[in-house]
Formats: sequence, C-alpha cells, structure tokens
Amino acid sequence: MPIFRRAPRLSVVVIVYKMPEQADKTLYSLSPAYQHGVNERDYEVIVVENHSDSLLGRERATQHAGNVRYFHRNETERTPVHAINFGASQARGSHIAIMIDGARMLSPGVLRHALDAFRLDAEAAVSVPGYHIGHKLQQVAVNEGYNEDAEQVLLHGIEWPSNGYRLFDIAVLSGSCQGGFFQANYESNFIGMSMRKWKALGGVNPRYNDFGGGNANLDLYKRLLEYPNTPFYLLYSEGSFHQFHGGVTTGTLREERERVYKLLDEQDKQIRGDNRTPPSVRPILLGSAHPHIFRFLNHSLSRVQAV
Amino acid sequence: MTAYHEKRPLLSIIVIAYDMPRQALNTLISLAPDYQQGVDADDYEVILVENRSKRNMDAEAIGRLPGNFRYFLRDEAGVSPAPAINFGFAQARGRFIGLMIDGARLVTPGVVKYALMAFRMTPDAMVVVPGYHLGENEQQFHLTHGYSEEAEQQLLADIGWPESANGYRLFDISCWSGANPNGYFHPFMESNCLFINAQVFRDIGRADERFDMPGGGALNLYLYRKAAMHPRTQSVMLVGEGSFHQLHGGVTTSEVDGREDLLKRQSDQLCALLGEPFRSPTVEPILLGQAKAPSLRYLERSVQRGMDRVRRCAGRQEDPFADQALKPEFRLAPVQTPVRIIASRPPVSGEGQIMKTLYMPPSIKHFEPLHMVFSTWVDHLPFGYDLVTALRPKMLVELGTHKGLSYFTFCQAMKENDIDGVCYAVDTFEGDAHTDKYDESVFNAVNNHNRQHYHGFSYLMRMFFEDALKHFDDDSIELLHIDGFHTYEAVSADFANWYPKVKPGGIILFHDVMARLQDFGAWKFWDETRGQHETFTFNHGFGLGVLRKPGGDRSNDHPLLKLLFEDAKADDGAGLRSFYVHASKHLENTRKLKRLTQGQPQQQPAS
Repeated sequence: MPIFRRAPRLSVVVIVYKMPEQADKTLYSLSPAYQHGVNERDYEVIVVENHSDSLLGRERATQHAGNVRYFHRNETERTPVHAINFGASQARGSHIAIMIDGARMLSPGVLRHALDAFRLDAEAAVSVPGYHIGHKLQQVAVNEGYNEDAEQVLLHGIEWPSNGYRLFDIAVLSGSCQGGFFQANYESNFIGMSMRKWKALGGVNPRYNDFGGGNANLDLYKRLLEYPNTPFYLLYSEGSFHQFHGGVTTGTLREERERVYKLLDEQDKQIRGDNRTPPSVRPILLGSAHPHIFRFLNHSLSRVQAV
Repeated sequence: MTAYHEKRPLLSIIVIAYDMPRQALNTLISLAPDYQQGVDADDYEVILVENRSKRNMDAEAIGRLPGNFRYFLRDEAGVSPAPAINFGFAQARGRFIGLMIDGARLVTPGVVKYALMAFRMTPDAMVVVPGYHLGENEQQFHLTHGYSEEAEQQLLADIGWPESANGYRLFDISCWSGANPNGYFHPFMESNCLFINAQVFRDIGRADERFDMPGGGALNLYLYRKAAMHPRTQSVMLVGEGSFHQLHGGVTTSEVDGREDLLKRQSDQLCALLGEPFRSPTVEPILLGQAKAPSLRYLERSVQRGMDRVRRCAGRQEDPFADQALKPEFRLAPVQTPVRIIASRPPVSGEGQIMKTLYMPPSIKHFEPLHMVFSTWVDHLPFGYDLVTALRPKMLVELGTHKGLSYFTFCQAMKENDIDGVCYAVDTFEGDAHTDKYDESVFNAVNNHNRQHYHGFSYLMRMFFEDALKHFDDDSIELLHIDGFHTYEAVSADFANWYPKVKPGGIILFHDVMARLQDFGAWKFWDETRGQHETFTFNHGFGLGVLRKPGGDRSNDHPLLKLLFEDAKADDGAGLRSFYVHASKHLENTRKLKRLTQGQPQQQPAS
C-alpha cells in the first residue's frame, strides 16, 4: 500500500471511562451507518479510554466502523483532560471535535453539518446542543428512580437507532443549554474547530485535574468562542444525548453531587478567577429543519423573548 | 455606472425593473456593498435590466452607488420580464446567479453574505430568501387599508432606512408575503430573491419566454419549482434575512379590478407549461443564518405553523417532504454523473464540437489555474483538468513533476470537484539531462504550494521512480502520468515498470509524444505503442498520449472517455483535438489579458 493515506477532514476525539454500554451506543451513533451523508474516509474517530474495572476495550470500540482508532491509557488523576490532549495529539484531520463524555450519543446529521460548517468557514467554531434522555434532567430523575433500565425502555420505544432524530422526542435540553438556540450557552459535548485553532488555544487546560475534568469543557468552549476571527455555528437541529451512567454530575445522588460541585467550582475559581461568564456570542444557525426540533425551537424562542 | 471591474465576480444578481424607478433604486441601494454586511464588493455584481417605460431609472443615481452595478435599459415589445431575465443572464459573469424578477424588493443586509456562504457549502445550493410585504397588510389589499406609497416612505424613514445598521428593522414594519404566509417550515410557492448555480439555471431552460403575460404571469413559480426539483440542488433557507416588497402598482401585488380572473389565467398557463398541476415543492431546507431579534416573531409563527403541518401530515400519513424523496440523496460532493445540458439553446462558442454528446467540459466553465509556471504542459491544462474531473480517480500518480504545472492542475481538479482520492508526485526534484540540474528552490516552491492548497490528499514522494514502485499495489492506480526522463529507453522502462500498477480500465498519460528534439524518444515509444492499445493522441504543443488499460467496468463510462475512445473513431478525433487546441489557446489568452490589464484597473477590457 502507499505510504501516505488521504487525511480525514475531521477527527472526533471521544473520551471513555467506566461506561462500556453507553460508549458502545455513542460509537455506533458516530459510524457512517448511522450518520447521514458522510463516508468513512471523511472523518476518523479517536477513542481514548482511561483504564477502569469496566472497560469498553478495543474490540467493541472498533466494531462499528473502519475509521475508529482506539487508545487505552492508564491515568493517575481522576480527570479526562490528559486523555483529551493525548487524543488530539493523535488526530490526523485538519479539524477536530472534542466529545469529553463518551456517554453522549449523537443525532444523525452532526458530522455532515459540522463538515458543512468548516466548508463555510475553515476557522468556524461548531457545537451541538446537549440533551438528556428522559423527561427530566438526569440529575433530577436519578432521585426519582431513573436508571439504565428505564432508559432502555425509552430507546426501545423510539426504535433507536432506526431514526436517530426521534431521540428528540424522548429528551430534554441539558442544564447548560437551557437558554436555547439563540444564545451561546455554557458548553457542548461536541466542540469542533480547526486543528490550527486547537493548537493556538493550547488544548484543554491540564490544571482541571479533578472529578470528570470539572469545568475544563466550559473553559474550552468559552475560550474557543471568544477567540478572534471565530464565527460560531450552532447545529441547532442536531443534538448530543446524554445516556444515564454513573457520571460525576449527572448520575449521582444529590448530597454527593453538591459536595463535588463545590469542589469543582473552587478549582475553577482558582484557575479562571472572575472571568467565568458564558461566552456572549450570537450563533449562526445551520441545519436541516426536521419536525422533531420544533418543540425545542419553540422553547428557545420563549427564552429570548422573555429577556 | 462604476468602472467595469477586472476581477470576475462569483455572483451575478439580476434585477428586473419596469416602471418603478424609485422602488428599484431602493432595491439597488439594499444590494450595494456599503449596505450589505461582511462582503467584498468584488465578489458580486448587480445587473439591472430595465424595460423601457414612461418612467425610467436615473442612470446617474445608479452610477453613484458603490460596487459593481451594470445598468441596461432595453426596449421590450412584450409585457413579460422573461426576455429581460435571459438578457441579464447573458451579461452575467458569475458562476452563481441571483434572480430578483420583481425589482421592487429590497433586502436585509446579510443576504449576499449568506448566499455566498451557502455556495461555499455546496455549489448546488438553491438559496431561498423568504418574502415579506412592507406595511401591516399584504399589499394587494392596500386600497382597503389606506396604504400608499407615501405611507410606505414614511415607514421606511421611521426605521432609519437605508442605514445598514437599521436593515433588520424592516421586519418591524412588515408582514408575511402571500407566497410564504406560513413561514419557513411550510413549502414555499416561490421566492423573489433566489440564488442558484448558473448551470442549474441553464439546465432548467432559463426563463421560459412562453410566459408572455404581464409581469411574466406565473413564471417565477415555474422557475422556483424547476430549480427546487433539479436533481442536484439543495434548498438553503436564509432564516433571519428577507426580501421586502414595496408598493409599486405591480400586476398581482396591487389591488386592481379583475385580479382574480388574472390569477386564474396565470395558473392555467403555469399548469400547461409545467405539464402538471402546480404544487409548491416540498423539499427539505437547510436553515442558515443568524436570527436577529426583529425576525424572531416570524420564526415563532413558523414553528407553530410547522408543528400544525407535521400533525396534519401525520394524520394523513403523508411525508412532509415528499418531493425530497424524489431527488437523489443529497451529498455535498458533486454527484458522480456528469453534468448534462438540456439542449434547448444554441451552443456557445467552442462548445459546438462536442455538443452532440451533451457534455460540457468543466474546464471551460470555471477553470483558472492556481499554479502557473513555465512548462510545455501549458497546452494540455484544460484536458488535464477535465480528465481528472471525469475519472474521479481514487489514486493518481505522476512520474516526473518538476515545477508542478501538470500535477497541480490535477490536484486543483481533485479539490474543486471534491474528489475523494489521493495524489502522489514522484520526483527527485534535482533535474536531469533534459531539464538540467536545478536547485532546491524548485522543490521548495512545489512543496509550499502543495502544503498550502492540497494538504491532506496530495503527497510529494522525493525519490527515484524505481524506489517508489514498491509502495503501490498492482491494479491500484486509476490515473498515471508518465513525464520523467524523455529518452526512448527511459519512457519504455517507466511504462513497463508501472503498467502493472494501473487499474484495469485506468488511464496512462504520456507527455512529449510529439517532441523530436535532442535525444527525446517518447515519440518513438508512442509510435510503437499506440497501435497496440486503446489510445488517443493530442498533437498540439509537445503532444500528449492517452492510453487506456484493457478491462474494468465500462458500463458507466464518463462521456469524456466515450469521446476519446469511441466517438473519436468517427472523425479520427479531429473534433475533440481541435476543441482542446482552442480551449488551451483560450486559457492562455485569458491569462494574457489579465496580465496586460493588471495595474490598470480603469481600463476597459478588450471585447
């Protein structure tokens, strides 16, 4: 074979830790079998799994598509940030997208429209609104008995993965995206940019070395959107959907969660000082207008008109 | 009128006016680069075609506008704008066109920027700008509501129009247009500000002049449906932008006696010319744009009406985007099938030779070489570009790259046509007895250009051809270009070594097959070889031989391959040969002209 291969346009870095079932679904949702209008050579998926007693493993990670590269690492700190920076260093694409939480699966147009956006402007920042599967935020639902089994029933009900857009019918906007589609919000589990910009930003800040990376993702999102010459494209009619797992902030009981939040918040204050407001950048909307999104468009309108 | 700019614009916006001087001037003001935000004035031109009336436009006022405005006043015997549109299209220099069939519509400040962005996303975008009417009521009912031109001018003055910063306040003083009363998530009947690829406009037969009723009758609905149903177009709706109709006593937008009867006759003509009853095309749009505050109330209504529609469709078990299903699945990459022209027009010059196959070589439409260096390959650039576009090779290899003229033409075709393949240039970049030794600057220039433009799919292999061989599998290369050391022995060896690497049905190009200087021997090799294979020879310049390896699936051969290896038998290839002689001459002349006029922007180009 030739010594060089065609470089993919986009490298998606997915971080996995103690969530084999959820990550398996996430990776299926990233495969060309599920994503519309893209083929295997357009992008690559870089899975970085931090070691745990509940591993996804190479075989499962690579079973859905030929464009997945799997890395298993030992991590001494309880944070994904080193895994992210490592994954990004493996990327071959001209653009990169970070999915800090491997438990979030995607709707079927994310990759196609992310590639569209980079075509529109190579220096674009691209993000996808976040949702929680279920009819309440999972950090609330967990106190009412929501668990993986309840989620299975919901997914079964929409015959996932036959029409990925039906995920919207069984989901709510995640807390950080409550502001809707007409403002920038706090963060996203799909943050895309050019490789050049990623390097200029210096990747995710490794000082976020506590549970789940703390506010590392919010920090990255804010720094990216506020970076000069960075038009912000919001794939408003796509989503990343959080599946229930024992995650730090979404899957633990209330008292424990509040204690952890406080710790993370203090670390964030130490790192960022007072500059912690969400980025105030007006998004450019891009995406097809499928009917499952209308409910959330309506919600988003109510959020800006109330202001 | 402002100076005729040297740079060819990407987009030509065609505006038609008749008996509406004040309104049409407003429309032009809204299209000028000091009102349109985030655009380069050189990226677009506005072609105003006015059919003469008692009240014509003020040419001097148009001349004072910044930007590329071209004004044409013509005498029209009929009452339809269709011939004026086609006249405007004939003047258009852009690869993309905007159609504003009713010159009385002014637009918001992001229309041009977002239209150009949509074409960056896909050259086959059909960009739809939603329509609105100034005033609180649709203007066909203006008499009933006491709305007048004076009232409208007051409304515009109240919002501080035409200050660009106030452009979006147009939404505050308007209402939905009757063409899209239910908003963005319902199918549109038409768009009065529509952007499409010029080729799509040709494909749908341009403005059909059989629409001969006043105002064109239902011509605009016809054009919209045809464009939407064109197999390659993808509808892109500019949410947050709009075109706003000003009152001007137009045919259907005024309150006049007999309006109902007129609409009926228009509808009859539309159905007759469509050959079926008219339905608004139900294609699924991609929404693009920033929804600024003044436009949000329209979005809100759109969402509500959209939800109603989805429920209705579900109740009837109808697909809300039924027409989308009739189109081939949308892919960003240009489709594999070649562009076919609907032969409803006389061929343009240079095209006649090969019109019979309905194949339009892409090099004559939009090829401008990015990388120009001195090389005898200059005579074959259009063919090189077309061949790569036709083959869409997964793997392309060039043996002997030197300064890269041929190689980067191939790469440019790969990139511009979104071809999913890899290119390799094999060369030591040190020169040989025919080129003489050259220094490192040659490699550096090639390497830099490659990195800058073709990163990710094009690779330089700095080594001897023999050393590169082992990196390629047998039957893997779809296009091989042999242009190394030119002695008989060297060319024969390159062919023998590399032939097994070429995929059955693949193409091998040989340069310099007509050059009989020094100890060049490619001509001798070609003389011996051409009879034993399927070949085609270009005699001009230093000559280019095209050889096709036997085998492979030929059932879906591209028209260019048919022209080379089948149709050429009829006239011994004379037609195709002379076409590419002209094409390369044309390219050279265009370049010369550009060189001559550079630095003298005020000079009119020779016509």
